[in-house]
Amino acid sequence: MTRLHHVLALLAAALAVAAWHSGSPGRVESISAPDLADRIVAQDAALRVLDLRSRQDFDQLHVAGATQMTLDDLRGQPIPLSARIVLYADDDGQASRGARLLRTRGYRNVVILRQGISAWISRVLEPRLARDATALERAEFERAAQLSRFFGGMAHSGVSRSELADSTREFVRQAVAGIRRRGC
Amino acid sequence: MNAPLSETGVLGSAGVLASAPLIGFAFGWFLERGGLGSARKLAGQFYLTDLTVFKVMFSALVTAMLGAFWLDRIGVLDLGLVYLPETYVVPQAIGGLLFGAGFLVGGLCPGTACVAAAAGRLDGLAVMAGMLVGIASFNGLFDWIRPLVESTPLGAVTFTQLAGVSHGAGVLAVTVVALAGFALAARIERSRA
Repeated sequence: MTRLHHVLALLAAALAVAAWHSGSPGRVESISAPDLADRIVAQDAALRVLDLRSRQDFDQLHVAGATQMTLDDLRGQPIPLSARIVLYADDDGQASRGARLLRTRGYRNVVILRQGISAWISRVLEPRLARDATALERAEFERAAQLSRFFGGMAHSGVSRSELADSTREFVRQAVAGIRRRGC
Repeated sequence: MNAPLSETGVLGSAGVLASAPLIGFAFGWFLERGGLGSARKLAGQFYLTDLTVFKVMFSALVTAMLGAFWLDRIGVLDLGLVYLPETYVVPQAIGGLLFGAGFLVGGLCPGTACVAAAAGRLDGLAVMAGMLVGIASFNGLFDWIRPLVESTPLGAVTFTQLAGVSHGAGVLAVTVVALAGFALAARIERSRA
């Protein structure tokens, strides 16, 4: 082993010991759409759902009970420190930035809604079951269908796998249009 | 490999596509320059005659792990945005055994097989052909083996979550194992020289 190898080994050891001392990284935890729906159904009093999308997108469709805010609002809004905050935005990166910002203000119970409004539509409001679904998928669909009824959505069974995989902005746009036509 | 620039949207979809071949060429070039396109060198680790693969892989693993951990810590990378594949214990254990057996028999893993093939080695081409047959077989038989593929799911978990320790403790444990492994590998190679 050369001198360079020894130096690199020492550097790695020093960084690893420092990592051990620093504990877990500031990872932003997330929650799935069905789990968030369960919390809303259970009327969790400490729950605060914040929508970081535009006012226009919020007015089109939002998670039940959510409040629209901007990233700037997060810097000054008076929210109780004990609140269990769930954030979602146009993408998970923006929601994570919001969560980090709240952490710097001392909020410890902050998570993001995984895949945002797209997941809320596809897994809670408009869950879909593939024609060749497995037993596990059918069990999850039953749970999602119950949540869908609670929130005034509509479950769809017998769709193709390609339709199931579609979670693009176009899917969200069409789903929102469909939900609004039905008057949800 | 292009995280976090792909997740944060800095590169854009065209940038992600453009960066992929660049990273691929760089990966292949370094593997070839490190001699890892040679099946003899790769098979040597199973017979403890040449531990280059072990040292290269663990160096890359420790570098990436420490880099990802500290980039997250200083706010450059959000590890929460990095895709974490789901764990299926039994099918992945079977897959690992098959992979190891194929590695030993062929003398190459998927990355080094591509490097060997690009360098004109026939054994690399043979292993790549084997990979393609394996991929086609897996897809052709997927409906039949699907119950096995989807069995024993644990979700997207990490070793530290299962062990109930902090990420930092996991980082330290892997680094200690790697450094001890390097020292042991050096001793084995000296004794066989």
